[in-house]
Amino acid sequence: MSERWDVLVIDDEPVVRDAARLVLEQEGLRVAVAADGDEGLAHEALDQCRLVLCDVMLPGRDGFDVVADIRARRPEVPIVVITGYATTAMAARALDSGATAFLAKPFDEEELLEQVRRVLERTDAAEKEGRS
Amino acid sequence: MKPRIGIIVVLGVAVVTAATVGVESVLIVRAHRQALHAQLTQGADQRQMVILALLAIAASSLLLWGLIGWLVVRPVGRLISGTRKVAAGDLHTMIPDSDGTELGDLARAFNDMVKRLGEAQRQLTQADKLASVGRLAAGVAHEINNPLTGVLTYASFLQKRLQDRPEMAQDLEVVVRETKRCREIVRGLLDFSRQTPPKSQPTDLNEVVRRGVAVIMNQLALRRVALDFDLADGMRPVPADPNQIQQVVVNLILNAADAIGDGGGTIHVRTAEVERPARGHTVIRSAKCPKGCDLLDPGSRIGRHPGIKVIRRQKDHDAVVLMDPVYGRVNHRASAVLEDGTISEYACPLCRTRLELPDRKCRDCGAPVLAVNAGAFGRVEWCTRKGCHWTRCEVLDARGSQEFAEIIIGDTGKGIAPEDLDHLFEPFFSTKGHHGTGLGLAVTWGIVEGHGGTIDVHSELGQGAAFVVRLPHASPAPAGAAPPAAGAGGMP
Repeated sequence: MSERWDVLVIDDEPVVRDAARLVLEQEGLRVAVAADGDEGLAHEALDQCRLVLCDVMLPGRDGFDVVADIRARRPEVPIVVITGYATTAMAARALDSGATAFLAKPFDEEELLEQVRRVLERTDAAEKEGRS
Repeated sequence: MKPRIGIIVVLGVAVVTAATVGVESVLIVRAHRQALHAQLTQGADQRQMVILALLAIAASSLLLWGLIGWLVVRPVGRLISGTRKVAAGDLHTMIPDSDGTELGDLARAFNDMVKRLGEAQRQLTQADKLASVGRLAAGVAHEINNPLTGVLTYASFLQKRLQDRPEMAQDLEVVVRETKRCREIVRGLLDFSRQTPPKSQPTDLNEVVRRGVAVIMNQLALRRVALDFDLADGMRPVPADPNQIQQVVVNLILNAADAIGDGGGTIHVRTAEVERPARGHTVIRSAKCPKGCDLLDPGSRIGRHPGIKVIRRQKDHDAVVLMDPVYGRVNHRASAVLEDGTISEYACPLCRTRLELPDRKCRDCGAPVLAVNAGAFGRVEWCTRKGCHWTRCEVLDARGSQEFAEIIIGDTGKGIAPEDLDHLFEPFFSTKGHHGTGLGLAVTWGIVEGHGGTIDVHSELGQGAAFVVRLPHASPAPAGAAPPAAGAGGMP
């Protein structure tokens, strides 16, 4: 693989994509961005990344459908759903669609990093366990 | 004599009087004619008789006209002008209904109708407001939270990297803090639009209070508000959602700070373990008639809780009685004057089933007893006699005192006007003008209610106010918390 992505961020709001990219790149992660579900599903990063951040209210295809499609393609990849309408029902639906975790907007740098680290640590641990 | 037939009698008397006057004058004239027959000519006699008869008829007509005007035209005129005012949208119109005639009854029915229309309109407006704020909150949350994400992430990012330039880091801290405040406001709106059930866990109330205070310490310092703590040692953990209760603490302290205003003052925060008897404190949150109709009326509240609505059949006018839902308290309200006397039938307003218990008498006065089915509390009974305050509930009486963890937040502010006390917890009720959203205390109330707890206010104008929150240690499953909205049964 010529290029490797660590994270794919799918959000229609440029400022959210940019902010997430800034924070995550600062942590040494390579970040790809997509503005809607179709773009995200077509992005080459989807097959390489270690983590997907996906908004719920996307133009065109619903975020939950996008999460379900990603889950079908990459059963093992952690997906963090980010939404500005954080309700318990929303969280439950996200988890039902196959999301791994849930992050409410607006978040600050630390909250985003904490969630990302937690999810990646879990996958790393699972991978190690799988290998041993 | 029944008052409503009075008008017929009065008119009858008027007609008879008029006729009598006419006949009498004719008779007088006839007697006169016989006596003075010799002196008067036939023609002059007849002329006089006709004039007198005409005068008598004119007088009686005048009398009738006056009576009809007084008894019929005037009240009908008032009804017409009242109707016009109501048609023009004035639902505060009331017309005098003092006399006991049918028109008086009509006026009373009119007033009653206008009152109900006004009530219905207020309820609709309130329900509309709630539905709108729900939609608004969802829209606002989505739209505002995206730009807030940008501001918060960039500001926190920069803040961390500018630690070596304290003056800039400090400014950025303000940006981060205020953005997080915006986040809380949006969350508050969302919380209000769909109040979530508490995620209860054993909670150290003192810790929650300290955390809540830490969140708003800076705001309080800026406003020259001093805090005085009296946190009880050895508080037992109470089943509660720490985040929600922290929101209650923050809301009440900020509210107290607003009451204190610019002049500065002190907020006292106290926690304690208390025991309270069921009587006077336990709220009945479920009330059904024998056929299962729901008697609780979220649209008619006593204090802040939906009242128990029953019909009292009386001799002259049935009354809708709203019973106080706090067990042992008797701040009942009635739609009409409760008549003394022997007739005191109580019935379900929906299915008309009688609510008295055939085999029971009041222990205090021997009058019949009415009862409702209060869910987990079993049967709650009240004496039917006006003025007798006897009540009984075996389950609650057997339970005795209940233990509560208590938080009291008092201030030295301007106090609350007595007429505002009952409305404080209604959504959109605010005494702060443009400063307040009118949602803070409504959310607070919803949270405490969701915990099966109570919130009381003690205040006098100019003397400050104290909000007392009590959370039960062993909670009976609370009914779904409804906001104290006039008429809105649930959240949108």
